[in-house]
Amino acid sequence: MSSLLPVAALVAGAVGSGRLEGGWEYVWASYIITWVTCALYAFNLWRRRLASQAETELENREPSRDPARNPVEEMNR
Amino acid sequence: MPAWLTLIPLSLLVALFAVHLASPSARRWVWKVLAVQGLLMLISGAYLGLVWAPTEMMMGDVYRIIYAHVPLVWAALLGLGINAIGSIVYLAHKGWLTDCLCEASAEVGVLFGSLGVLLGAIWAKPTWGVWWTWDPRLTSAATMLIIGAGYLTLRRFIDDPDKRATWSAVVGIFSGVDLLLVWYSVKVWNSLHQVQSTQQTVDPNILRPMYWNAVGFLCLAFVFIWHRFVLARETRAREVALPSALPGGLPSTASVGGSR
Repeated sequence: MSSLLPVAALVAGAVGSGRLEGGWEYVWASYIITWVTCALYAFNLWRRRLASQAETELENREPSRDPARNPVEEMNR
Repeated sequence: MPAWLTLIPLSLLVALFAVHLASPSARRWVWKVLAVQGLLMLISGAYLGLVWAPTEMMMGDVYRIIYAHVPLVWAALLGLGINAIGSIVYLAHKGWLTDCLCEASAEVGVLFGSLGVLLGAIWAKPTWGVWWTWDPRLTSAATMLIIGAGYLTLRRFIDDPDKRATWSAVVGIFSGVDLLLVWYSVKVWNSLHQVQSTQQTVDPNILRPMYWNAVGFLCLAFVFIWHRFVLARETRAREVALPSALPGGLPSTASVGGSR
């Protein structure tokens, strides 16, 4: 019986706490991916808004356009 | 962290949203306030999630992905839900502003949903041992995103604004049906994905940072949807506004007004 004690101690030491250890690299990867993606999308949206505003101003300056008509206001009616 | 603390920024978000709807002049600054609020909440939420929240009993520190994964998925469901409801409204009462809102909410919903599913896969690897499994919730979420991506692709390939709005509205409704599947899948089927956490099943110190981050992502979602909506509105105004100098003085074929 006493000869089994070291074996029992070895087996007990190999059993984990039942809880995942570490894994911080997964956590950091998740947060970095989230923040970078949101920042890139915000930047992309800002660039698209600028381009759209420039295009709208360009079209508003065209002589064939009816100056009395404002399609954006009409959309909001 | 007291339970009522998250109610303050949530109330501010709701109040500012109401002001945004009620007052056109306020729309110039409401999104800026919510952008700052969202950013501050996400920075403090990262601290709460990564440092303040306790270690989970079985998942250790890996569970901290929950503070990004769950809020992203909630925001995605909100975005795609707005798209689904907007699609039904559009088919009932056609209006360009409704179509613009559908376009905006779909794009933001697909973005946040894709991020949410990606983070779920990153979380699954150390906990389930696999990056992906054909679990009901994961499968229905992937289906919802594929339909959402199909919605956005369809809109890119149809030039006629009227057809584009109508056909994509039909697709948007399918996305909404799948959204319900995503929500109820863990309750209806025997799923590997855990069921909804509640205050009865999870330590409040784990749940409260999640609600804090959820409000932060909601603020971010509002700002994104608003700007995407304005972009869609400007594009639509250019598409449907024909120059008056047409041969024979033909009128516009599609009215730009709110309802036809």
